[in-house]
Amino acid sequence: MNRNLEYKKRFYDMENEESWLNEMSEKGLALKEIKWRVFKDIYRFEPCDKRYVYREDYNMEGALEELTSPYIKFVTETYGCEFVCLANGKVYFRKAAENGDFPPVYTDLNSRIEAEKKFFWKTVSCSFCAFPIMCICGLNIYNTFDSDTVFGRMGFVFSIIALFCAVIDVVWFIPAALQKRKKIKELEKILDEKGGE
Amino acid sequence: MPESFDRGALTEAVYYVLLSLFEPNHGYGIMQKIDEMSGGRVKLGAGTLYGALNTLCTKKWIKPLSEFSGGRKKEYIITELGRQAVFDEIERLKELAENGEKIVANFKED
Repeated sequence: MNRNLEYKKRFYDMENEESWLNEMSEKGLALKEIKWRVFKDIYRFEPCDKRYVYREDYNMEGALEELTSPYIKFVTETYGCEFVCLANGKVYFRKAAENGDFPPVYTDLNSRIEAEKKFFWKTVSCSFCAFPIMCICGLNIYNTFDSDTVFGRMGFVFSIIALFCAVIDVVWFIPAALQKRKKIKELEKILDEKGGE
Repeated sequence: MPESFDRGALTEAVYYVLLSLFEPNHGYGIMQKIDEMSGGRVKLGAGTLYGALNTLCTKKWIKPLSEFSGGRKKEYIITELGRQAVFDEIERLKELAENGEKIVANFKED
């Protein structure tokens, strides 16, 4: 893999990520896959002559693959676009610019806010799930640090997991939840200014 | 679905989706029909449309017609409940427009 075709990035805003992917496409790079990492995700690209327009949405169905997801099927059929990948709780689509318009997935503020709220609560729930596991396992550090028994050693391994959970919680879920909360407030403000839709 | 949908007033998106399903239609067809009806003013994204279709199916205001479609794309049609919701909405909109007209008419003449 050519290192130049890998970029480390972290996006909390769908529109910013879409814009960046579209800019990369302008430079002749087509998205191949996204690998999740604790601090920054790895975006892998491949050289491509075609110019694509990228769109993304939250993976609310929790789809694990393209073929079993009614939503992915609906979007690809409706827009005549291609599925690219699933990553970070999101699903990515693209359509060759020459094949016509590819409008944003959410064109109505109410449904956009609803989607952002669902993702926010999913993120917060993940964060709260990680927190008690982290605390319970973390307590084992003290008890098992110098243990010679099998259970003691297992407890120590759990404490390592606890540290890992803590890092993920702080680095990923909490900033993601805060960013989503900010975005929801911004969208609600726009909706209020418009007097509802 | 938005709050307004729950208390009876339909959002523009839901209203137009229901209108476009008085005849069987699929996702892309619904989008085109809405674009055409609203003169290009209302454009629905797939996320918005997919959410609306699912909620309307749950409420039994529309139903899928896959067994009769014969095609690859899933089609939907409005149900009796959905039609009633559209008739109620039209009455509500008429009342809003009439009340608005009555008040504004005097000011227009000035």
